[in-house]
Amino acid sequence: MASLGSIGLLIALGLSLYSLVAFFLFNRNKGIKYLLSAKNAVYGTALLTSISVGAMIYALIAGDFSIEYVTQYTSRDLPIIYKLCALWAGNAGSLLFWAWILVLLTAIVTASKENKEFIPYASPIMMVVGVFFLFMINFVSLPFVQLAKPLADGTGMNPMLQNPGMVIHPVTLYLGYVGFTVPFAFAMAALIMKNPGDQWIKLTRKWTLISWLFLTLGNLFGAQWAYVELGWGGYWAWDPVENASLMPWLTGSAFLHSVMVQERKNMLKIWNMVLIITTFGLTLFGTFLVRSGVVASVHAFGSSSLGAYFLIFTSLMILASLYLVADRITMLRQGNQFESYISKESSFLLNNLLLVGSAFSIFWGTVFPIVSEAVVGQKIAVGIPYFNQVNAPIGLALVLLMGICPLIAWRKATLESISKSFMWPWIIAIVGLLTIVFMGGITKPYALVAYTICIYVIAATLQDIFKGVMVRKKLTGENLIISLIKLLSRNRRRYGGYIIHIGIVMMIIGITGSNVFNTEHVKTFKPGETAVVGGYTISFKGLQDKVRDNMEVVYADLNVIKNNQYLGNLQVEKVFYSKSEQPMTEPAIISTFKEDLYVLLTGWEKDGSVILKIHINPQIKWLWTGGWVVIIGVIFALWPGKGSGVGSRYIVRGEVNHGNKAG
Amino acid sequence: MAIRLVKRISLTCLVLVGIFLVNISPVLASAQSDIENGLICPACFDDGMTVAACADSTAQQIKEEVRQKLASGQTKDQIMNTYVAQYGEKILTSPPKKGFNLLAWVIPFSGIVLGGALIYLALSKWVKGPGLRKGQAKTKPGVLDDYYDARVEEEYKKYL
Repeated sequence: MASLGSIGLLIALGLSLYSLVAFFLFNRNKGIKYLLSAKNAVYGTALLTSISVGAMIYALIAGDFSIEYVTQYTSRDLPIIYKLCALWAGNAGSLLFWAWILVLLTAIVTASKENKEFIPYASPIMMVVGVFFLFMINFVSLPFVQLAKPLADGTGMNPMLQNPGMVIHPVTLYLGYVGFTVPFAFAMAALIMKNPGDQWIKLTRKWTLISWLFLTLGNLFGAQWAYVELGWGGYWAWDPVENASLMPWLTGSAFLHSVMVQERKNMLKIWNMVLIITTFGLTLFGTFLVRSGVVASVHAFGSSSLGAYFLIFTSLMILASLYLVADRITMLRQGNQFESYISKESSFLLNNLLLVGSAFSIFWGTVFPIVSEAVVGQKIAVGIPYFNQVNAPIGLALVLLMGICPLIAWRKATLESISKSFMWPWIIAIVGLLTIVFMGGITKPYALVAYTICIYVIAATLQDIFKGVMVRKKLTGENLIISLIKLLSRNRRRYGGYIIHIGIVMMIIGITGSNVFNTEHVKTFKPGETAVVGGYTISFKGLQDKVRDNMEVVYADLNVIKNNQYLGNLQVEKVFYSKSEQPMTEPAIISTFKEDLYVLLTGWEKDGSVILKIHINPQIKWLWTGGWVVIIGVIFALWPGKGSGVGSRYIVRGEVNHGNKAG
Repeated sequence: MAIRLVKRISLTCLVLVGIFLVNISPVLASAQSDIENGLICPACFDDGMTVAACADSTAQQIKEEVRQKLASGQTKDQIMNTYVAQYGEKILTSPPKKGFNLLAWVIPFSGIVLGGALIYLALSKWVKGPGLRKGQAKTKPGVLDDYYDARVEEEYKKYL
């Protein structure tokens, strides 16, 4: 298996290099045969990388302990699903996995029929990235290293990784990271081809949106995993690696918005190029951070020389792209003009400012320890309090914009029309504010500001949909329900965006509640004891133990009652894995939209009494539910067929023959 | 008119950001979790793990100390200062807002303000002269308005 895998990778690298040469020859007008040959080389690369991945998966599942990687991340008693996940548990394996996704995407893009003229340029650009990754797994971080003498058993997987989060978080995140290579490659292809229009944006819209969705999900699944596995009651620690996945998400979000200005008004061409280059660069920067060990991180794969390669490659790619933009800058000159300071297009500029500003603040905070060490020789930590304080105001301002921008008309808005459309949402928001102050008894200013903004945005979004329905109803005479369904389904791009906005607002509600109102109690329970903690009546029945798969579990058996209602039985676990010294503390959670009851077993005494740590985390469920709403929004917007296209384009007067005198 | 409004809006935004910066501090709930999140576990400096997140005994010990100190009436700042005196500033999870470290806090917001200024400049370049806009806004109602409205409605139906 090992030799099959490594030979496969070597040939894949050779083929990918050959495809670059063949694409180059075709672009030099040496004939169509080179294009066909290059395409076949791309497919061959994908096939051979797949064979290597297959060999690795086989070795992992069959337990081929003659391969070093297999011994490092699996053991005989590891459940089969985690044997499979071991593919991305270590350095070499995860690079193999990344390269595999990348070459598969390249093959799909190369084979697609819709964007033929771009392929001779976009495909080799993706292949350049592919060559880099294949080079890394062939010569720097080798997955198929064989041991001189096979071991009887492996050291097993880190217990923290043995969680459903390990199955889905890395996969979604990598798909998001790798996916952004496609719009990047098309953007560069457009520059090389001197085709500066918005064709590349239209061609890659699906890719961009789906990559963005996967990045969103990758982050959310990671947060959820941290929440249920790490046992500190939180889900986001602003760790450098978490930041590395949030930054491309922010710039990617900015890109998704600003391309609309280019599609509608033929403006911001340079800016969109810069945004997609930045987003692509940040996806690689994240990998550099994880693999290099330059910053302290709980995610680090251990310091290695990999980081340097990534840094050099990322820098080269970014410099080359920026050179290309600079070289073609005259082609990217602005088309239309803005007609007013207040318009949807100018509101997009504000949105971009805040999204990129937030990404920049996170970047600055992440690299500040390095800067500080270089300048004043002191390695200072930059952590949770810093990022919370800097990003909370930016985040809230962004949410506020979500409630303002969609209401502003394209081209030109008047003050009257704006104040008219803002009136009702504001009234609702103020009523909501008064309700939560007087009925909910919430007085913390931060939470009040956040909730008011969230209510406002939801009201404004719903009002806009309602208005559309009324107009449609009046014009077509349909009833309310049919009007609503038809309005939404025929403008799916717009209303899909609204659904995504509502999902994000739900996430903000969850983030606010869980950060501002979380409480923590530590209490010792004797066997049979019942106590009221944070409004929950918790009875401790006794300490038990059991064996499950490759682990021994000690658990406290609890019954939970609230408001005379039985909520369920909780088993709060300490898990001892066969291959690990440190036991894992697995929380038990009862989750409602109001709050999560989050219980941890921190220890026990000889007399059978247990020490429980009880977190009350309000509204966390809103965060996860918001994520599902975002998925629905993206699928709604992308569903093929009528209604998913772009809106009409605005042209300046000079572009129309008889438009000169009108208006 | 519009320019004034934009100025006013940007001013309001600046003031708002300022207010936030002045610190509506307890972003996190209790002084206890604030302190736990503000300190790095001294046993895990390499990982940069906070006391709140860390599971090992040193972190547990500090949590207990903090609980007792809070119970005995010490304030958050006093407690943080004790730990800084003992381990140095590297125990803090966020740079203190003074000296070189002030840059960590100031640069992001300066970046945004600078970006905002650039956008403002770009807008004033892109927006056409004010004379044209005024002329359009003040068009008198005419006889053809009804006709145009009907046409617009007709066109609208095609897109619904």
